[in-house]
Amino acid sequence: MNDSNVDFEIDTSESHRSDTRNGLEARVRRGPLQWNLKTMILLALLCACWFCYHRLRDDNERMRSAIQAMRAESKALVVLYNDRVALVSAPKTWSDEKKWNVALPSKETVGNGGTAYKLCLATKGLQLGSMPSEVTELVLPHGRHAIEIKKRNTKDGFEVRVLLDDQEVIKVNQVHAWGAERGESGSEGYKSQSFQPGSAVESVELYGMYLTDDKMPEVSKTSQHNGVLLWLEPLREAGQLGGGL
Amino acid sequence: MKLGMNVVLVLAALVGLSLAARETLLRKDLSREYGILAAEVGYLESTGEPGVQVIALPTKDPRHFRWRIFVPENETVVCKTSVAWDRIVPMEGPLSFIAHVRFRDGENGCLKAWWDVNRSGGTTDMGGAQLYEFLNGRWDEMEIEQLASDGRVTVQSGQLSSLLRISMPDQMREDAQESLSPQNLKWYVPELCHLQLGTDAETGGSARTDASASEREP
Repeated sequence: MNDSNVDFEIDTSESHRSDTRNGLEARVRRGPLQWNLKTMILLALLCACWFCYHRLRDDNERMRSAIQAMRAESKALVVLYNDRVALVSAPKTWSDEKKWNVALPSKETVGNGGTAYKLCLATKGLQLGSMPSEVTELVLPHGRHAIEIKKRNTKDGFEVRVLLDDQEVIKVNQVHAWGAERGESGSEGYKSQSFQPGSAVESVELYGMYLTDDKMPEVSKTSQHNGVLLWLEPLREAGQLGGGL
Repeated sequence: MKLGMNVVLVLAALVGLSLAARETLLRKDLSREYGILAAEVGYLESTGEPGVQVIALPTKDPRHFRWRIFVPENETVVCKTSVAWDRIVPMEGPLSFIAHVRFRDGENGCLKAWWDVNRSGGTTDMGGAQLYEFLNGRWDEMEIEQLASDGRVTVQSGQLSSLLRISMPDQMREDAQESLSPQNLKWYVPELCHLQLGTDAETGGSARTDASASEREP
């Protein structure tokens, strides 16, 4: 017997079968999910990412609702139509302050058909529904500005000053036409929300105050009064604008 | 199977990450707008705790003081002061409003004060020309304590807190003794103004007034 001719054959089939069986058993035992370290790390990463997202989303939602609430009070100037003026009453900083923030069309917009405005003030001959005969006017520069009106009683009448960006631009002294007894009735618009007129050719009344006395106790379309009327008037097609106030 | 699941996890994580990144970018824009609006009108909301919440708001004028005040449901807030104007009508919650106190030079040569607390307020001349001349150019010397100037403060129920206290330092008090009339001394020295806020609607001035009446929050 030649040793070299001896074939050694190791039968591993049993072992192979056994491994295969063990593997299958292990797989069956572990189920379809393979929870190794890499998977666990990825799972943790996934959770972290989605947790962050939900946290941020909730915070942003809260911030959005706070912004919503603050916007309602902020008196922000909103320009929806850039061919016409937008205005809102400025936040109050003194008891009788009458101040407005206005956004006027830019030079380019006016060149492309937008409207330029002039500031008009009248203190006598005020009549509901018609234009006063004596008006002090100022052409307003383009862009955003603050307009303020200040009224002060004087010995024999009252003084009205109009400020543009805190600089006095109009000053009128008005003597009372009637006796010392007088009351006031008037309006002050755009207190809470930004406003734009319905069209680019409409005038916008900023402030109106009519003085009355026992001879003229009521403000009507036929009565004429001293007082204060401040408004913005488009520079174009000014002839059509009288009835707007 | 394992590889497939890992790929799914990575993809899901990436989706979550991109959404989180988007919310982060959005938050920057919202924060900017929130900051602008909060400086202008302030924001306080119900925390479910009792007491009145107060936060000071910035102003351009050093003699103008503003606060956002939040009064929760079932609370009634009052303001009282030692000078110039009397107790303001009690205000029942829930309500949120901006309160103002401002001082400025009047056109009639005296110091004018204006206050506005939930649409109740007015103006008053303080001390006439004598006080005006005395204070002229010396406002910076005054000691000013404004409630909630460092952040939100909760004024606990049944207590009064100083909303604004403007007082004169020692040297100024001594000068005032020589310059002001007895009536002005009585009303405006050492405290030119002391405005208090509290929730003691029924007990009036008997509520405890001290520094611990309010709890400062971070």
